[in-house]
Amino acid sequence: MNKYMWLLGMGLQKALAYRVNYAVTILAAVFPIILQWALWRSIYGYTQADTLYGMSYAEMLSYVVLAALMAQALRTGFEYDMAEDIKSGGLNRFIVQPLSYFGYRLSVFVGTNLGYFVATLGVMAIALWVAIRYWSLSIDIVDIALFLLSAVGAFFLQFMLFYLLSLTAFWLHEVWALFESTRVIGLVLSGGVVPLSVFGESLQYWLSLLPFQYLIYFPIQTLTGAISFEQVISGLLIQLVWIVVMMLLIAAIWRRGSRSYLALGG
Amino acid sequence: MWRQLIKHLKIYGLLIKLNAIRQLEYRVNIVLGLLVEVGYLGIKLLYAYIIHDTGVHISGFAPQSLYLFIGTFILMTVFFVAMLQFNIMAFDRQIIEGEFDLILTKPVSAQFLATLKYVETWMVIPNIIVGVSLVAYGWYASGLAFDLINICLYFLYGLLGIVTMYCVFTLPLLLAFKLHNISAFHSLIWALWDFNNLPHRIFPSPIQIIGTVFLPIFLITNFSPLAVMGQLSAIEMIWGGVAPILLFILTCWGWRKAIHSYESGGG
Repeated sequence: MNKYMWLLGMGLQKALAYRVNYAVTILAAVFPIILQWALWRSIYGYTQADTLYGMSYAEMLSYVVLAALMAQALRTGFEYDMAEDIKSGGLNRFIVQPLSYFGYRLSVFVGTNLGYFVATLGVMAIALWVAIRYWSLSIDIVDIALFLLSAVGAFFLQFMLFYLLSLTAFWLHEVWALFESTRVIGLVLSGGVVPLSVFGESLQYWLSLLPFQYLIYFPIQTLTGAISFEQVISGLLIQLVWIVVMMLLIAAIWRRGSRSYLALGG
Repeated sequence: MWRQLIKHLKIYGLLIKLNAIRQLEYRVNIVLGLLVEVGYLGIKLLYAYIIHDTGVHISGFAPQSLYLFIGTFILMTVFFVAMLQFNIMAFDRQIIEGEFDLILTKPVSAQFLATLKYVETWMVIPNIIVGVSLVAYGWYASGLAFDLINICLYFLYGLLGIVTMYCVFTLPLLLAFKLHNISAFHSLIWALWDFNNLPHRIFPSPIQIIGTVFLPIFLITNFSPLAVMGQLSAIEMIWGGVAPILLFILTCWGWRKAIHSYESGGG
């Protein structure tokens, strides 16, 4: 266990070395927020509607701000390292060392992203304070606790999703486009751009069968108290089920992929 | 000057051809690249869907007119992705790894070669199709005359928009000569680009002024539809013509200054 904790610490140190990088990333997230704010302000102002897509203006504004920040909190990047390890023989050392590759990647991911994740949650707390203070959003302390649980679940679900995708490198030569298209499509399907209620009830039903909404839409709905306590609990359970399903899939695909792995490189 | 311009245009034509042939070698990459672009296109169209669904008028513009703006933004994305995106991504690497030495030895402008040598060709096809369709629909549905004056105005401000785009996104790259690693700025550049997704008049006045005068990103995609709609004031029309020229002069001057800081880092 100690070796994985050491890896986690190393990842954290590496992440802290690039603090300016993080500040610029968060700054970049401000622009889409301004765009969304301007759009929804115009829409609510023009239509004079109390609610649109099941949300008031304050709720919509809070949603798009928090969702944009949540999307930043769930950043990845390890998938490219994994694909490189698989393609150029980087897995060789894990064959001879008493170290699980999954454990190694998970520890490094947690270490590298924990700082970003917690810092972004801090920025979200400021955004939440603005939402409560100026947009009259009412938040319950229980909702915040449940949100933190769902956010941790989303953090691991995101890891599993990209770990699973990275395994395609056993068979595919070029994987960047697969990663990027999944990232973009996943951002939309997880509610990272607009709330899923925009897509209408029938499409939202089909989207609920996929794991994506448990990354952003569900945690933000939990935080803003838009769903009942029972719905939150069942959502948390479904999120957990998705994590377990992905882990099982990872184990099965890893076994198959390992058979076609060529230990290249020196 | 004109001779130089024609020479570089000819070279750029050759670069397009060479890049297109090189990319055809990896057809699977083209298909996967198209998949990525379709994903980004989906996000842009999401805004069009919301505008259509809510029927919102922005600063007096009906949804039909807004399609003209979104279509123009998508068409400009063609130039952004084809001309700039991959050059921006590779720029600091060529300075860090000393590849820039080779560029300095070529008998063409180093600025031209270092900022425009990669051209993405096939990946932009979905943007061309959707962009042209949206512009055509927005133009027709807004009841705008499809005459020579309007077409010329649209293309003139489009061309000036491309010059502005080149300058606005090339200037920050010059920091690479001083800082070397500027990868963190990439996400800022992409975010700034997406700011053009909707007409600039949707934003409060201070943002409009900053984005039109000080960091003129709104000149890139907004002025050609506004000119066709007759919504540009005389001052805006003049600024739309002058700003790109001033920016281009500033970019070339900045390049000459920045290049003095270059230290060959390669082995």
